Amino acid sequence: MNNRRSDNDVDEEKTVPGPSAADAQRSFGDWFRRLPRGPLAGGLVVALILLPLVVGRYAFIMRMVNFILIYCLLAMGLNIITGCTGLFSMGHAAFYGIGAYASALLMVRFNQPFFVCLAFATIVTGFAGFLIAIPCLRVHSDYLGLITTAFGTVFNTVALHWMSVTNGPLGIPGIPAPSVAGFVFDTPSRYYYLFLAIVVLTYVALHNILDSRVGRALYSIRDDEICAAAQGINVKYYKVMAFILGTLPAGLAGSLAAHYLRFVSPEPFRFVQSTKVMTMIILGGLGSLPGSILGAIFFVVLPEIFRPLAVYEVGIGGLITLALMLFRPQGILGSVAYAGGGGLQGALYRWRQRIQQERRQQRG
Amino acid sequence: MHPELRYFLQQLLNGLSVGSTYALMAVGYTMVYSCLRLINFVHGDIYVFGTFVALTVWKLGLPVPAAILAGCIAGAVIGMGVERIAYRPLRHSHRIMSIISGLGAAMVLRTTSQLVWGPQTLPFFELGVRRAIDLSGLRIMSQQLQVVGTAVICMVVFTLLLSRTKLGKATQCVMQDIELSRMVGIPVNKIIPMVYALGGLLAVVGGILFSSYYDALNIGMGLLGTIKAWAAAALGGMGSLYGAFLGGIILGVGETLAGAYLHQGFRSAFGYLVIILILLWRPHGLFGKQRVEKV
Repeated sequence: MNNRRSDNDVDEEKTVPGPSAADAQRSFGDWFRRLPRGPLAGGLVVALILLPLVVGRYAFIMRMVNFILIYCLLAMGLNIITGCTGLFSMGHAAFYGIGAYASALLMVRFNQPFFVCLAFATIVTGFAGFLIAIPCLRVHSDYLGLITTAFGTVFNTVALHWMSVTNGPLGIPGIPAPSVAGFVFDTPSRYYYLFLAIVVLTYVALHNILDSRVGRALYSIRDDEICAAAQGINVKYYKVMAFILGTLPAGLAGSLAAHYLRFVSPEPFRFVQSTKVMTMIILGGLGSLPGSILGAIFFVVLPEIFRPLAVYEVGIGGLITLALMLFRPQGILGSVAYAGGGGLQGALYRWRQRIQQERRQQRG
Repeated sequence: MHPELRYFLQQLLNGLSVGSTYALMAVGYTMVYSCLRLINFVHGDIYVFGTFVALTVWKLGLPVPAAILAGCIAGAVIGMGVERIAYRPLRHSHRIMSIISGLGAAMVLRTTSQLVWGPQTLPFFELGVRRAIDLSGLRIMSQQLQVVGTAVICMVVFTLLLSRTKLGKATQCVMQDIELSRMVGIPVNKIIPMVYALGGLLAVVGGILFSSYYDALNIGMGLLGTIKAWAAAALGGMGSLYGAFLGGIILGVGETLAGAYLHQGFRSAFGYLVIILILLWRPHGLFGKQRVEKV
């Protein structure tokens, strides 16, 4: 059930300064107030900044790290939709693709500066998320999954066959490297710093949104939609907002991927990609932003380690997902509240309880 | 016959044949779905695995009926296994967990098929002599009759099985409420695996018909089959057998007509667009009952 303080509680207990009062008074410095701190977090920041100096020589490691950062954006976005709000979305790859195509087309056809492309791609993707959210309001759980799957397939088919715009399976080559005020991000390390900055900013923004009134509304919709509505939360409004908040990072990721790979084709935006991002957030834990990052790291690094066994990649991912669901259904960093008493853990717990009960009966 | 009309009827017939294979998969899917109420991502991969088994048995030199039987048994066994390993331990947790564990099982199964049979497309055996009947310009292939006929027979047999036998009535009870069925003494943990076995069996029958109709089989069909079966079942309304059957037919006919009249490349996209529109109009599918959520 809903453990978090709801806005109505705050109104009743006027003496306690509730979170909504704090929201109104928040200054710029406050935006970073609730982030993790301490020596560990500081060490992490230093390590992230120094990373290219250590591994910058190995091109394949830098490539892997940059892909982790792109997947972090995707996973955090999907986590807002599926993890925090409980909307089962299987079309995330399509939003990723929309961002990539929007950015690539604006860059190649109209020759706009990088940041204009980035902003445009993000806004277009957010708008697509808004459009998809509207039909999704009418349907629930599985049907929502179906509509988002259908949307993903429609996007892929259009990208594959609308030759005049997307150039079909041949894709759009020749996307220039991003440059800001004459500074060109053309080496893996430069890409890394650009991506890292965007990921950190997105993380801070999403972290604060989830820690505000909006975030609490999303969590309460996930925990119990009827209960949330009864408490005066505008469920439809917040569901649409969840879709927009979740697709904006996907747009960013798409744009960055397009400028990183210098080439866009429909191939990376297929249904399989959606399931990959889904397994990432499940592994990390639904509703947990650090979990999303962990999931992204795991599922990018794992196939690289098992490169010689590439045939088994899908199967190993499946085995891990299966085992995870059975032993730790809430994911590595997820909250137990969402998972319920499921999985082998839950079965073990029930089994122990039953044995204890039988013993008590034997005694009594 | 007017050439335009003949073209339309020909496409309609093609659509009916494709739709019948979808319908068979969707009927199995909707049965499995209504038992535990979860999206079964393994369905398509079970069908591919079973169909590969049938092909292997046929290649060993055994007759076609033996191959079909072997495929069906393989599908049924895997269906039961997936239920036991991926779904039963998670029956009491949030639904999304079992959906994801199913997805994991599907990935494992897909990799297994790929390791055993390879990623390439294999030619498939024919179910009988290929003959064409000419009906004033309209060509009716014997496979088309086979496909449609098998689908209708399977549908009738399953409806009778569900409504007339004791086993079927127990299944209906489990579909409505697992806990209550357990309380009145229905062996729930025997009924649910049985339903999964039947679902896998129907999927393999549909898969064999599909592969023999198109003379092709590869592992990519698994995911495709899952999505098509899911779409058809959702279109008809989850849990409704007739709905799933009709949903499959509508999906097949819609896709084929869209391919014939609009653009071949866009055919599956049009199928999905139709699904989105129908779900907007009826959010619980064509024949689905609205389930009122209790607090």
